[in-house]
This record gives sequence, structure tokens and C-alpha cells, in this order.
Amino acid sequence: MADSVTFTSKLAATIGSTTIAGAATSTKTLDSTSALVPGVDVTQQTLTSLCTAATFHSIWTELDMGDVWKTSSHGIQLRNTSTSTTHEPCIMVAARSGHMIITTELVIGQSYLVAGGALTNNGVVWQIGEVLIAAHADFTGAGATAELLIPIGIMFPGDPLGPIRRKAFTAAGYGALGHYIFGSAATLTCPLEISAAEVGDPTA
Amino acid sequence: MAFTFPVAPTVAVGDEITSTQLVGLANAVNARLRSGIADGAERVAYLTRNAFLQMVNPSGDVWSPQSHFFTQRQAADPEHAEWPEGEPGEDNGATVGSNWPTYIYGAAALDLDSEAVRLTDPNYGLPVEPAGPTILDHWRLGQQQRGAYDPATGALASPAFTAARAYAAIRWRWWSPQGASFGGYFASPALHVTPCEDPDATDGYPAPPNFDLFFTNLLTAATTTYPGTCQDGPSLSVPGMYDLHVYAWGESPWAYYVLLNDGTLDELSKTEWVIGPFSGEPRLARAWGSHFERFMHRFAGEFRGVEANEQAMRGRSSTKYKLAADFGRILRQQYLLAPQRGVQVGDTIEAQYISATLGVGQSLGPLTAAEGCVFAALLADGSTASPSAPVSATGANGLALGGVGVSPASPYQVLTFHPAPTQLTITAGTGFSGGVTVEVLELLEYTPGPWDVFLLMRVGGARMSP
Repeated sequence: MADSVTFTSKLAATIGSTTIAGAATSTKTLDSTSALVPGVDVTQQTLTSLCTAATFHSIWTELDMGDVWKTSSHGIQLRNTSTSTTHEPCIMVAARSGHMIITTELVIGQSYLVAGGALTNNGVVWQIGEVLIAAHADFTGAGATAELLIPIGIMFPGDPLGPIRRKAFTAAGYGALGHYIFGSAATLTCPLEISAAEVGDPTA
Repeated sequence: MAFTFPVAPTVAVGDEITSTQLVGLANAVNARLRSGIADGAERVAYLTRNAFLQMVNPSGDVWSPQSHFFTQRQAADPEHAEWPEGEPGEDNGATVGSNWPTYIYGAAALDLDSEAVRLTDPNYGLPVEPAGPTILDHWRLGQQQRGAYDPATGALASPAFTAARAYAAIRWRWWSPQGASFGGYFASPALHVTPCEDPDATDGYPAPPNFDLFFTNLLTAATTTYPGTCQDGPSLSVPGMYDLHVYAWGESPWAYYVLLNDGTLDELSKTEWVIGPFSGEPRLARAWGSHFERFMHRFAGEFRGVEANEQAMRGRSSTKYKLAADFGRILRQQYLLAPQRGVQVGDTIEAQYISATLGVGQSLGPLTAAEGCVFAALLADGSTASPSAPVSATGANGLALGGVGVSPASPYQVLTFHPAPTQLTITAGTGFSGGVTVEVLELLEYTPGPWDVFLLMRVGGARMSP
């Protein structure tokens, strides 16, 4: 039984009316035996492709464990990892719904933490503290790279009956509820491992 | 005919599990399943299927296949096709005669409210919203939640108990596969020597069997017996002759229930009683699949993760680790939402909270808890104590139970007692003017069942609105 969970990130196809050049999908697997760095390596997605000036680029990530887990706290953290001081991309952090949380310029090498926000899942707005964490960062600027991190406080069981109530009881919902009934979904145990990670300032 | 199976390999404590051992375990399990003995594979499949059986009502009279969820619905992408399309209980809506929809939406036929009402409605279920953010507000909310218990009459009215146990109304007819496990031949009560009279000679049905139903005390081996299972009716030779016979019996996770023909309902706690053991003819039947209980126990018990996760958490951060609810500890301690001692007046029970305002050096007590009750906690109110008042509690023989300090700036503090004593003295310290008011929880002695812990975790862990 592998104590692991897979996080998937991908370049969004479109943001508003602006088309993003290229699309890619990457997968990052956190293994419970790996050495997670508290506050830093909880979930980390790095956009490595170079941007083209005046286009929007996006990284977004989603802990798509649906209704199984909730968090005591979480944040959306973005760090400008560009090495060139000539690039100061304009960064927007938005929830999956497209709701804007901040718009700011990120100083190169600096990190910014946003405390949660209104997120949606299947049309239902999730409150801070609930499990589904989805975020993307859009930025402009040539040669810019950025990391999107989601520091998590404590994750604890969420609402596995939610999918039935929301008329969204699919195989994923069955996995959530079935986990509790039959104890069969090994991949759901990892977040409790992650729960030990402290929320901290990665620049400290 | 002899059967032989491979033995699953044993892994020494502390050793890494090898792939060879995992393969050996799988071989051992598979050999047993493939042998067909005891229908192992069928039991697994049947139990899984019956957890999510017939979840959608038909449009008209044609029902979907019983396993419709597994064969089709779980593959529906909610972004393209929601289901059920109708409202619960209506055409094309969730079937409120099916396990999980009934648990979530309730069912009029079972007199069961929706989970949201049962667990969060202040009028028809459990009040969960305090009037304000203070400790006092939460203390008062706890009073509303726990209700009262009269040790003299045994009467009990507790929203917290009711909310935690209401789900157990979900039981289906004994022949229904809904929520059932595979079943088999179960022992049944023996027949009495004296058969029943036919209660109604005109209905075309014969007299019912007269079973010898009894229960055995787990501690004393004493038995609770019933005169039989004959039914009342217009054709009996002596009207009312079967009033004390059993009309029906059933069980919940915590008790057996026996309903007599005269309307008497007996409750026999499963911590004290076991049905039978019977020696009658084995009867082919299904057994309750305990899907709800499996879900609830695991949900409530997993806030620190499974053991491996728990150990990892503790190693990484004891601070975070301690924040996660400790299922094992909660189960061993007095339940703070057990009902408060009260007095029954007619159809109501009035909770009685002992309280007093103490000056410098004054004491309340020694108090002795009512029969079957314990002192579980106290609230200290120092809003008129200047500058601050220390309050301490002692049990029998001066055993120190703890203390708190309260002041006008931080007026309310709660002190809980573990283990909860039956004798209590509360003393105000010195160095303050004014008074400190204390109020005592005197609760039914009761350690929470898994259903109680689930209630706490469920209410604390999920919004149950759509």
C-alpha cells in the first residue's frame, strides 16, 4: 500500500480571452517516505518555461481529493524564481473560479502568501478551511519563472457525503466514501502525513 | 473433505515488509477466495454493492438495475450530467429507501429528518451555533445540546444523544439486500411447546410461530425471557392473553429493542446483554452490513491518521499532532455532552445545574453526585472578581482535580475532570475582592460511543448544507 498522493498541475489553456502559448501537464508525487521540507515542499509546482512578453502564463494546481479532507488552514503562495532582474512579472493569484485574490508585482526571489480564498468545486463555493485547494498564478513577462506553493496546516477528514448531496457522486465520490466504508483507498492516507508540515515562510 | 491453504507469511515487528511477503499474503488470501469456501469473493462483492444499491428513483414504474450506480452512474462527469435529476424522493430523484440518500436526506417513512436537520437544526435537531464567541456562550450551547437525565425515573431527553443515534432508524426489511451483507444460516429461537392460537381465524393466515426469545446477561449469565411471540387478534380465546408476548424485536449498535403487544418497549444495552444464544432451527437470512457504522467509526477515528501516519505526525510535529482529535482518549473519558442531572416534571425534564457565588476562601461542597452521575466540569465566572480569583477543585480525600484563574478581563474559564469524580469541593482562593461564580456539570456517567464521537467530528468537520 503506497502512502502517496499525486498532485497534478497543468498549464491552463485559456485565461479570459487570452490564449496561452503551449500546454503541458506535469505530475508530482509526494511519497510519505520522502523528506518533505516543512513549509516549503508541501506542494510545489514550478513553471519552467519561459514566458513571452505580454502574454499571460498560468500555473495551477489542485489537490483534487474532493471531499475527503479539510484543512485547518492553507494558503496560496507564489514566488518569483526568475533569475534576471530585468523581469518583474505582474502576478495574479486567482482561485479556480477565476476569482482574483491579489494582483501585485512580485519582487524577484520574494514569496507572497495569500490566506485561502473562495474556491469552487463543481459550482459549489468552498470556504477557507475546506479541502479543495485549487489555485493558479497568471503572470506576464518574458523569461519569468515562478513557483506556486500551497502550504497546509492540518488536514483532517472532510465531507465524504458531499458528492451525493451535491449530485456529483461519481467514481471519485465513491472513492471518498468507500475509503471510509471499506478502507480501500490507500492514496488517501498521505494528507495526514502532510499534515505534519508547518505553515511557514519559505524565505526564512 | 480436507482443505489446505497456504499460510500468510509473518513479518517481524519493526521489519520492512518485503515484496515476497506481500505476494505470500496475496496468495494466501486468493487461495481462500478461489476455493469458494464460505463464498468469500461473493461476500465482498455483495457487501460492496449493497452499500450503494438502487440510489435513484425511476421515472414512472421502471426502475434502474439495482447496481446502476456501479455500472453507469459513477462514470457520469458532473460537469456534464448531474444525477439524480429530480429531488430526493421524487421521480428521478434520490431514493429515500436507499442507504446513503436516506442518511443524507432523511425519509418520512422512517420518521427521519435529513442529516442537516438532525445534526445542525436548533429546533428539530442539535443546536450548534453559540449565541456569541465567549466561553460562556459555548457553555450555554453545551447545556442546550446535552439536555437532562432524571436518575430517579431514568427519563432522559438529550438532543446530543438523539442526534447521534437517529441514523439507526435506517433499517430495511429483513429480505431486502439494501444495506445488507451476504448473510447465511443464523441460529434462531427455539419454538415453545405451546403453539400460538390463531389470532384471526378469518384472515386466511395460520397462527404465528411461538418463539422462545430470550437474552443473556454478559456479566451474570442471568436471562431475560419473554412468554412468547404470539400475536393479538379478534379470535383469541381470551382477549388480551398475549399482551406480554413479543410483537417485534430489533437491534441498534448499542441495544436490543423488544416491543410487546401491549405497547411496552424494552431496551437491553448491548454492553450488558446478548440475544440468545439460540438453539432453534437455523434460518437463512441476511445480516446488517454495518455500512454506516464502518463509515462513522473510521471517519471519527482517523483524525490522527492510521497508525503509520500518526507516528509520522508525532515525529514531525508534536504540536500539530496534539491538535488532531485523539479518538482513543475521547472514548475513555466521560462524555461532556452526556445529559445533565435533572428532575422529571410530567413530560419534561428540567436540568439542574448546581451553582454558587464564592467569596475569598469560600467553598462549595463537598458535593456528592446523584446515583449514576459524575462531576465532569465546572465553569468559573470571575466578571466581578478583582483583580483575579483563583478557583480550585478537589475530589474525595482532598484529591486535587485542578484549578483555574478568572478575572474581569478574562471572566470565564472551564475546568474539566478526568477521571470524573463523584465527590467534589470547589474553593475560591484569596487575593481578590468581589465574588466568583461557579457552575457544575453533573452528568450521566457515560463514556461516548463511536456514534457520539462521529457526531462531534461530523458537525465539526463538515457543512451539511447543499
